[in-house]
Amino acid sequence: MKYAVQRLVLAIPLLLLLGTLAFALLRMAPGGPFDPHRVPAPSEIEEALQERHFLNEPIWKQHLRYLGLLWEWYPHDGWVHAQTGLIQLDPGPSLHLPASKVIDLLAEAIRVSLALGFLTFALAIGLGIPGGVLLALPPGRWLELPGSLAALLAMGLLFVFGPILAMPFVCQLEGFPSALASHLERGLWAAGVVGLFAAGRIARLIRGGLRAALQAPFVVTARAKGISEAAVLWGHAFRPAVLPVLSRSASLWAMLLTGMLVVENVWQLPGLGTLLVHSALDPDYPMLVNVVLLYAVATLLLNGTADLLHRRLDPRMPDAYA
Amino acid sequence: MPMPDRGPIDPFMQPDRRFQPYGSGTSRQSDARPGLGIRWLVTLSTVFAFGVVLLLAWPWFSHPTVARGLPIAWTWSPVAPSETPNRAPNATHWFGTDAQGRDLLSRVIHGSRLSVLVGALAAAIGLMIGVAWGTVAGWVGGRWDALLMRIADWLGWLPAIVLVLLLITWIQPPIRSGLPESAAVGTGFQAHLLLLIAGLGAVSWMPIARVVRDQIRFLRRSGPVEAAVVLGFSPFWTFRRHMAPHLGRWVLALLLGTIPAVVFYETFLSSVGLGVQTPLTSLGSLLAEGIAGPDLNRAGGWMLLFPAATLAVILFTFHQLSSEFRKACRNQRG
Repeated sequence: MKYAVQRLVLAIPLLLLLGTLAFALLRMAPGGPFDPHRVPAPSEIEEALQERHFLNEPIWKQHLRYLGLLWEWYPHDGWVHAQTGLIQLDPGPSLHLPASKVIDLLAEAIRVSLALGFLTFALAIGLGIPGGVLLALPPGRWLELPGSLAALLAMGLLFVFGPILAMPFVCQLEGFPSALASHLERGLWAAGVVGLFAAGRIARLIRGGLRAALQAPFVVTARAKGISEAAVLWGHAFRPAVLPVLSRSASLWAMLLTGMLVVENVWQLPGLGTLLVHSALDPDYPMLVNVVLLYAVATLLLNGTADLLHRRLDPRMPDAYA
Repeated sequence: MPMPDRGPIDPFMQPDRRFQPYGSGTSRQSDARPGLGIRWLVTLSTVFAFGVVLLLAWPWFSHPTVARGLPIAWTWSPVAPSETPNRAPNATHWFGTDAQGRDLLSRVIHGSRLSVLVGALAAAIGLMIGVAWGTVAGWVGGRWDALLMRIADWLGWLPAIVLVLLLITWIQPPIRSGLPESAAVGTGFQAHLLLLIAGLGAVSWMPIARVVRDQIRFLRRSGPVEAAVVLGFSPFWTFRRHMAPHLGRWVLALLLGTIPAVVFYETFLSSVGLGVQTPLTSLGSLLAEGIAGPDLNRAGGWMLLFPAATLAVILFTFHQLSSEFRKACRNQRG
């Protein structure tokens, strides 16, 4: 618990650093309103832009405003916290849809991505852990070759299955104004592909861990005590068998996030990955930077959680602050 | 060179298990599985088939003109349109033709050649960065090691595609505007390709750095290196003489392992329109055509099926190769 609090506290400077990097990237964005080399617009537009993006302020003030750490002095109200900023979860307007804020568009995408992510994660865990246990035990060994082949090919065939599977649903639902049903169907397929691939990786790791654990002396001791084989498996051998998954959680998370980014685009689901690609295709710099920032924060959170869980299951782990 | 050349000193020439924790050597043998023979067979035959297709196709497809008189399918040009658009696979066009009547087989061969080339070059760039980064971190050690590896870890946590998108979007416009107007029209796609390769290389070094750093730290404690350090040889000489030879096989395994990842990223980027640009063809842009073009009720499923199956074969082949190499590396080490 103390460790968790320490890590949270130490994450604050890191988040500020990320925000600063994002701000620097935004200022360096070519062709945007912040580009110092662009051809100046008519004066009314320039004024509107300056007012909208606070371009006439000194750069340190803009930086603090972007982070959401700006307090301004008003004669009547005293010090007033600025309305926009990362801390207020409002990184400012989008370039392409000036009427809407980045945060509103992000919120929609986050909902889709979160739903997809939970589905994928549940599938990966739900298939991967029993699969790994099955593979490690003698009756399940024949599954090995077909299992690993299926998991490997899932990613390669993603581009075949994706559009072909998606297309009939789109055609069927063409007459319907509501796309919700089709989103659900496509989401299920998308989560299925990434989930299957991740489940393959997890199953291999669990299999390795469980095989090693089943040969360890403490399992011999447990068997010698005369408890049932199921109790040996789940009560003694399973916990150390999960550790390889947790120690590789960083690459597993990266794989899950990459996979979701790809399937969202292949199945045209309006999630974060689609938003990212669309804002890169026709550059919407504020949107792009903030989506990347969101990805960075998400990876920090996910890896932090996995690390805490790892420490919970294996107290021998050394401290890693970050 | 301050020392007479006596050939490389190899502390691992003998099956030496001194540096390994107890028992790690024996578990390898018990890990031998009955499926291994089949997997090797599959791997080798795919590599062989793949290599044969690429090599055979090389002289003919280097030219945009059709090699006439040869009654086999791969004498078709990947760029020359024919009078038979949207044909399903048949005896003349083994993979069918696209909307302009171009032979899909030749386009797939061309595309996969570019995809593998991009993958190999980007992986080589990533390898250079990763080896340098990991070597410095592993050699210097201490606080700098912690810092360098922390940076590599954090960057590695982010999906590589996100970083590539960020890099390309930010760097491309200044490069475009930096080119002279006439050059920008003709060579825009080439500049973009180079940028793509550089970007993919710049985001694929993190796992390499981690492995190399662990290897360097491991070698740093070995007898010859300690002796060289004590005798006052420069770090560069020690690295070249006592560490680089051992890194070699790891580097090959890592290169082979990075290529499929990069090929996959490139395919994805090209399939959404951010990768390889129009005059060039990669597997990703073929997939994009396959996704966008065909009306499945009428025709065109092959436009999707063949590039995707080729991609699956390429990914599978490189994945298998690298995992076999990795296994060989581990077994050799102890």
